[in-house]
Amino acid sequence: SGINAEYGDYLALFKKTVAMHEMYLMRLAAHSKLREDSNFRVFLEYAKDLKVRTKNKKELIGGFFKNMTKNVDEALLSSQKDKDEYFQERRAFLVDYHNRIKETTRKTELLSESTNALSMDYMQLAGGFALLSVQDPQLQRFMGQCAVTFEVMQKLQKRVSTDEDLKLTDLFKYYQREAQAAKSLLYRRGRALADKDIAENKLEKAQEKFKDIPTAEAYLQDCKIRFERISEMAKTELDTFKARRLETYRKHLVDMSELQIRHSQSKVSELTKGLELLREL
Amino acid sequence: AEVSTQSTGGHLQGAIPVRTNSDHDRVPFNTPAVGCALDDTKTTALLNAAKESAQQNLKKSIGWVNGDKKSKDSACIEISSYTRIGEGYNSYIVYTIQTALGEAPKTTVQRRFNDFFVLHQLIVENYLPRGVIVPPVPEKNFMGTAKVRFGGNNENIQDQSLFIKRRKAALERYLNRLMAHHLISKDETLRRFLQEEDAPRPNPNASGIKGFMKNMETMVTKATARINEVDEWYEDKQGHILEMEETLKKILAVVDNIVADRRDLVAKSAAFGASCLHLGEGEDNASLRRAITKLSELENNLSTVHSEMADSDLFVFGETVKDYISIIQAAKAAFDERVKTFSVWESSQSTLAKKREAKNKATLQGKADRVAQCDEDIRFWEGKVEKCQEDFEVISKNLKEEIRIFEEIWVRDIKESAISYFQKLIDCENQIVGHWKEFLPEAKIIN
Repeated sequence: SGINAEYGDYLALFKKTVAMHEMYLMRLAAHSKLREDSNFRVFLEYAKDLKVRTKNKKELIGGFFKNMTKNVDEALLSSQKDKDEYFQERRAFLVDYHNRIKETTRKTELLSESTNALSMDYMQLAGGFALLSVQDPQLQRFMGQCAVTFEVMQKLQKRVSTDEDLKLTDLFKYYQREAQAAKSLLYRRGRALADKDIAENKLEKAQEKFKDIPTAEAYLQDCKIRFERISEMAKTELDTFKARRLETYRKHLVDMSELQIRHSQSKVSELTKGLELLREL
Repeated sequence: AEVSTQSTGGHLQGAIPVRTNSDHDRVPFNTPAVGCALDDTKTTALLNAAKESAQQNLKKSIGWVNGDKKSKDSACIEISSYTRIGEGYNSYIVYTIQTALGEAPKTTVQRRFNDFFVLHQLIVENYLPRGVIVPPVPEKNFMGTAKVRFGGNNENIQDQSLFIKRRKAALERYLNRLMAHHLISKDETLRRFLQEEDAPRPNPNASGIKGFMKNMETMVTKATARINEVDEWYEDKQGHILEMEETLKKILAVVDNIVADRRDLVAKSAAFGASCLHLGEGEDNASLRRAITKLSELENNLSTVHSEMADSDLFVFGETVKDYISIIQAAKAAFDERVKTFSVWESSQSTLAKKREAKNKATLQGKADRVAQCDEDIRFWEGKVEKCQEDFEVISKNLKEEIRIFEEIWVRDIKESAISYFQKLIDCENQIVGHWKEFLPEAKIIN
């Protein structure tokens, strides 16, 4: 039965890993830009084994510095005023939502752990019943039945825990990271806006000094284009984010409910069956 | 008022005094009844259910013991309430015990925990030497009692409540077990405990020099005994009982784990529910906000069910296991008592042999008056040896019967307990199904 418990754990982890990876790939495939990415195509279609190079030292350090500057950016740009109401409202919402969901994710993780602990306890109780069954001839069949019932209860409790983890904990974890990614997009747009404002100032100064005006004009044009492109993309992304979130929450919460109903009903049926047998013994 | 104690062999069915309510006035009610202030209806319901099944068992066993299935001899002992007397360090809890025997009117007495303890000591003194497995009295518990004494009427009221409720239930089971025993139920001290205003006082011989000497004697005889058994039954049974004790201790540890983990689940699901409420408030979609808020409600409901399940783990199943671990201690004591009796027999045999030797010596030496003295001694010790043998045979026979009864009641109690436990779990899981079914439509309409 120890082996059964371990297999249950393995199965749970396997299910979870598959679900996470599938969700990731489907997201990429659904994205109008990202689905065109050549790396993605290769990943999906190359028949033989992929050789993936991990980051070399230069890339690792570069990544580290990039993170640092990003945090500085975030601090600076959170105070930035935005004339566009849509983005102003969206940013406020995302910052607030991200904080809330962080808390919820933590609490869900703790809940999941607690639910899981109970399944081990049921296993031990089954063991105790089995001992009584072996040691006391008058209780052999009665306690034997109790042990059998609680072995099933352990399996069912493990399913309760696994599905809670899969449908609830992973949901909030995922959307915590999505919210972070959305915030990050808004900050990149904010960066582009700041660059555009700086470019406008530079042009003014150049016009005052009658120096390097074409360069400044060209640079301002680049910044404008970049800002417009990123704003357009951001709007689309945020809209799809909202729609996708609704759909995912809905699916996960519905699945969760249906699964938990099924598991609890199985428990009731197992206990009832056991009880009937116990009454006769 | 003095109660007429003349009754048929001390059986409780004799003269039973009728108590009026005026007796309650004599107990000083300084502070509001702790029992009334606490409103833990679910725990009470569970305890009532456990008590119900204990009463059923009691009725069955009394009927069986007397060979009579009718309720004429049935006894029902109930601790109906409890009150705090006094305040702070000197305060203590007093329990109201109501006894109903067959068709006779109820009697009511007030007793504190220490009174039970004294009763137990008196019963052990009287019945253990006969090889009786004396029902164990609930343990003294310094921490729990201290909490109650100093707890006042606000802090830790849940802790106090749980402690007092468990103790009250345990004391009730204790009294009912005493009544279920075919010998002890007829005991005069028990009758006085249940019916007279003043609780039985401890035996003065138990403490003081006499008691001390008696204890020394028993300690010494205990250390040296080893029976050459004619009947393997006793060794086998002892081994079996020790095995059972180990198993029950393991099971109790598991139950304690289950209770702890479930109480943890209560806390974690409530915390998760609270965070969902917070999350819902931050949602920008109305149906999602509603759904997440409903999720919060669901988790709070589930938290309550988990709490019920934890209480059930403890009260319905755990307490039975705990009781039997204590009863096994009493059984071990009865086995030890038999060994002591054997020891006394052995030592009287060796004394007899010495006396016979002394007589031979005196005869050879031709001391006539010495020989006469020795004859007297020998006669005395022969009588003693005979009595010791009789004692040993009686205790051996009694013990066998006690074990037989113990095994029967154990099987019945643990089965009853397991069945109740299953029922409670079914109940709770059905509640869980209900709560999720309430939530499901809310999740479906997210849009």
